[in-house]
Amino acid sequence: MKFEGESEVSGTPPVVWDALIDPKVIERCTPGCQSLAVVGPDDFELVTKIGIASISGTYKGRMRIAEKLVGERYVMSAEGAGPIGTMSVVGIVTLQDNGDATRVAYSFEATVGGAMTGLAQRALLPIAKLLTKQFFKRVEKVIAGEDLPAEEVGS
Amino acid sequence: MKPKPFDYVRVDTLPALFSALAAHDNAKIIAGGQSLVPMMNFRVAQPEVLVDINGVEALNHVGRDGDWLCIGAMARYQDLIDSPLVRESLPLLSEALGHVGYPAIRNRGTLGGSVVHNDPSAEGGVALCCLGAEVVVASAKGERVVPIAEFFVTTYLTDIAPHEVLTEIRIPVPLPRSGSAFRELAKRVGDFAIVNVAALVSVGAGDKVSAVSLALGGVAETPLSFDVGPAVIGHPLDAARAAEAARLVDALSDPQDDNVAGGEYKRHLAGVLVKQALLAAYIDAMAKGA
Amino acid sequence: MTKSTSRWVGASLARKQDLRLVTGHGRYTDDISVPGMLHAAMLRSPHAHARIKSVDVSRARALPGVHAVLTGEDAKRYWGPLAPTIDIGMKVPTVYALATDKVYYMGEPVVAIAADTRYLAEDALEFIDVEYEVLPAVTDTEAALAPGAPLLYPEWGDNVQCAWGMSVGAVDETFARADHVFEFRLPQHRYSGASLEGRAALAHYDAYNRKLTLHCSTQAPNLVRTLVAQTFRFPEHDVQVIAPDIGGGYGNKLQADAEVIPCLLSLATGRPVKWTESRQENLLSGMQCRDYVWYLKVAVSKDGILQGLDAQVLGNVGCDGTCHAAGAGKFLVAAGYVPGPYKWHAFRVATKVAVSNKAPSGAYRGYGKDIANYPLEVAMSRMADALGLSPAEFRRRNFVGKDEFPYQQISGPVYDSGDYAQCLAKLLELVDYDEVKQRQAATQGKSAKYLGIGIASMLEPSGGAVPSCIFNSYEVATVRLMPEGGVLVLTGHQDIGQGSETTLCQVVADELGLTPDDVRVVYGDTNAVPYGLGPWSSRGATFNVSCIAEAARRLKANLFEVVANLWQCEAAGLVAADGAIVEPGGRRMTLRELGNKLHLWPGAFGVVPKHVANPFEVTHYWTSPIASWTPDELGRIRLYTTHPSGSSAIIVEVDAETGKIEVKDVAIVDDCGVIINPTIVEGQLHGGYVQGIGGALMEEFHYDERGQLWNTDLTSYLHPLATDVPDIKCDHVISPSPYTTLGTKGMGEGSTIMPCAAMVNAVEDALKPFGVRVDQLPLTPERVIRLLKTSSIWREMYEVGA
Repeated sequence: MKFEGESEVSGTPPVVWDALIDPKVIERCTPGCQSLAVVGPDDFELVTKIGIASISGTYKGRMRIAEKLVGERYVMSAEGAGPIGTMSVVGIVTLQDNGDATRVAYSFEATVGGAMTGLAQRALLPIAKLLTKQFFKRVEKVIAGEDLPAEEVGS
Repeated sequence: MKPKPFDYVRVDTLPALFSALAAHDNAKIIAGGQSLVPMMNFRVAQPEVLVDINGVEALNHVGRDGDWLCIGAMARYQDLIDSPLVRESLPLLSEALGHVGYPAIRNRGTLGGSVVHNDPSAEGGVALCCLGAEVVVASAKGERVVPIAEFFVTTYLTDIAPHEVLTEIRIPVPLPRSGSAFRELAKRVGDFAIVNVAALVSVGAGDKVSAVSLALGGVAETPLSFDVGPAVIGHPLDAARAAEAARLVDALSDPQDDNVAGGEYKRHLAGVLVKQALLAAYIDAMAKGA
Repeated sequence: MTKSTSRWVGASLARKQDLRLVTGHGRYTDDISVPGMLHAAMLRSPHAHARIKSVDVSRARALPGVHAVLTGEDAKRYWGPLAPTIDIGMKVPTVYALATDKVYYMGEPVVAIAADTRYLAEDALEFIDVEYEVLPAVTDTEAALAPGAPLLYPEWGDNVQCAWGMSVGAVDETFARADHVFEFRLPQHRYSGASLEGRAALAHYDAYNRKLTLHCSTQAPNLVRTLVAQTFRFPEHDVQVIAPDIGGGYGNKLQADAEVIPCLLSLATGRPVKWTESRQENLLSGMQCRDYVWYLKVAVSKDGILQGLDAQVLGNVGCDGTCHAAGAGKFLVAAGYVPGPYKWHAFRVATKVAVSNKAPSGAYRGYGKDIANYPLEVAMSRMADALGLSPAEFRRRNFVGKDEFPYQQISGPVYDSGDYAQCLAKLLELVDYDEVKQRQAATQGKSAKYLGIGIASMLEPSGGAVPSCIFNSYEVATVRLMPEGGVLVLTGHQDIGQGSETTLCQVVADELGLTPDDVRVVYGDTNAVPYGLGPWSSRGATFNVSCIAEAARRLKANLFEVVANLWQCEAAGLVAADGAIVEPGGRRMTLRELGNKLHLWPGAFGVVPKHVANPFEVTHYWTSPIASWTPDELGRIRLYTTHPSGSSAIIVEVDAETGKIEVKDVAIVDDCGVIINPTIVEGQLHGGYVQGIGGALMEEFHYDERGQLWNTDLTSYLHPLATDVPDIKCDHVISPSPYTTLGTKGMGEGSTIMPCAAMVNAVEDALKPFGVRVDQLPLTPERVIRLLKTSSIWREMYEVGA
């Protein structure tokens, strides 16, 4: 399954780039993230607690950033597993200058698995899209130095 | 499979409900439980506290308020199907809900619960989209009214916060010379629909369509309305117009492959059911007097 | 047949077990509780094919309420691999009930936990860390057989678990000079039966008694005992298996696979451990079935006479068809029976059985006869169409004739008796075939609904006797006269819902001149019954009934000797009737009086003549008189005792716009020889046919290329509901078998064998205007539309869109 999208993030590409690959920012901005451990360069293990409508539970994941073209693009791959099943995502994130904002575009290929695959497919992809949108909104706030909201839809 | 450990609280009033929701971080309201309990058993839903609202009488009502029909969130599917008021004012809703599961599910499940759960092909959601319903969302701080299309955010996600509860669904009663039809194909009787269609057609002078509302389930992340006005308004609704409407829907929809069926088949089925539903709704409207 | 009376055999007696089952007083394995009992849960592999790099259970072990956490390494260290259930020239892998160094299918158990409650056990699963190295998976049969495919067992060098073939007659010559040669590729998907009760096992290792007791939902308690003893290297006489009420088996409960895991846990904890599987576990790892592809070549003469058959079947047994379950054998059966009820001059068959990264494959209702039937019956109807013959006429021209029995089929088996043409004729009448065809002609094209009728005939080899396999060749039973005149029948057979608890009483009642209420059948406890095998391939009506009838007759003969001695008359003149032994026109002694005399008043010593060895009870051992494991001059063997047969028809209405198929009518004509209980027979026919319809229309295990299973609950694995099937009409032909004591043949599988072919034939008949040829099952609405889209006529009429 493909999912792609775009977000406008206030800040120039170098600033946004630095935020996007910074494990501390990733930890703060990944919705529901309980912990992030750096296991290697650009290689992170995350534990997130998801609570979106009925679907809740703890999900463990691994995220890797690779093929970096500083300030322009990188390849992101991630795998997560939890009660609803497993999901792996791989794709490209690109940054484009848009005045004093950066247009971040992402294009991912996602595969789901696990014993709940039927339900997983219906729910996980829309949830993944939503979480991705929320992630970039949170990144924007972090760059602007704002507080992150305690409660939001899907958090 | 067995659920994770959880606590259980039963409330009889809305204030008690809000207190319970405020007191616990990961609380989930349980009404009919027909969607929630299986998800809990599969551990896909892991609420730490279940707040049982089956005793909140204030949420279980069906009544008319001027040009609106007001349905409490706790109204059971079967009660709505049996209700003379609903059958008379909103036959589309009765017809749609008759396709929900089996009698056992309909006796316990609630329309409000279905709306908050937001399955992409939920019969209730599809009918309510077609009927232009609104939902009332309440919290300790007050109430807000949300049009149903905005309430449905994405699959299994609606515009409701953890401390809020859906209290009522308000539906405008259709115009006098209106007809409706609900069409669905499921693999077996009672299964989740592959695709379903709700159609509402109003007829004016010269048997011409004056208004139309169409919603589909199973072709998008949520139940979705489609504007087929350009294809049918101002004309009698014949097979050619219905086919044109189906082509409009086809152009606007992008059903995806999933565990239920492939996107290409859903697209084809949507076309077939849109035509059938529109024609049947038109015939129904025409039968309601010249 | 020699019988004194036939009052009970043939009667539709109400089943003895129904009162307790229907009122909720049945006793299933999960109903049993034992003091100190723990509950098991299993961590299952999320991957279809992976190496297990590490397993860390330390956090789970530390949880309160958790009493044991076992891994594959523990299984390997303390217990043996799963014992094979079949090995006829097959590659038998070394596999354990818990995965050791590799996982072979998604859902395979990797770690087992015993905890105070099932809830706690499932909670504890989250505290286990397993590291996998994911390997490429292979699921498709032909992909698994292709060079370069990922290997499940690298030491094999390929994914072939077994292969076999045979050839009789001048095959190539026959095809060379044939008027017509037809070729078919006919695959069938993977699906299985679903018992209302899944697998359940309560194991209790009592160290003080040095005894392992296993309550188990199984069709074969004696076999499970042997397999468990082998797996644990535990003395078999110290193992007792008790099978209480069984909520359905259908061939899927004929092994000791995951059932071994509660035994492991009980041995580790010294406490009773119960495992009741969830539906999800059943779908993931319970026995699956079907899943094969046939390549058929048929040579036919211009007057519609079959000449030669050249066939190949490639089968898929998932991760294994020998130890986890005995599924591999069914493809050998299929290869031998693909000639069906027809006559041939030349025959060649080859079968290859592949392993792949899917759940193990078992013996779901059919065990190869369904596999043989599907391509043959679809081919027959398609060939009839091509030759301009009706489907019935083409079959009639080629059936084995009713005067040709016993008939040795070209592949070797000897068919005992039958009247295939009569079954077909009765079917056409039952379903009013001509009227349906007329109605079809009158309505075709007038609406989007298309009427069609499809027929299928079948052969149902029953009473199997397979060498080097748990599906072996004998049955043993004891018939015992009690002191008070009642009769106890001790049988190693198992009632799994097919009603042998009742039918055996009917048989014994007739033999001994009693009523069925005077007889009780004891089964299910390996300490109480002789070593019998169990119900599959209709062994109940064949092996078990014959064994018990003969035991009863021998006991009766002994009792006659006793009475003749007391009365000083000829034993030959005595009769058993109305609860007594009677001298016609003279004296009468009830069985109660006789029982009293034998045991107490005065007792055996004063009553039994010296030449009578067994006055109280007779244990009889019965084998098939016709099966043969010695190859004949053409290398052929015979495995099945009787050959029930029949024909059926399905009438459908296909909605050409939505693709939905509605089953309007179903009719079955069945020949199972002598019928013991007509109501039970009808129930079997109905139930089996509905299972077949499920396979034809909606049931499917869908594995993707990574080996992920997509149907793990009953909203995605669909079974037919009452709303999916019409009333089913049944009729019978009776051709008694010369090879069983009462002439019974059995009919447990016949009705499941036919529906897929009949459905395909019906749908192809309905959609004939569009030239549809079904290439894949199940026939979901989506598949039907995909097939219709290939027709330009259909596209013109029904395609939606710009």
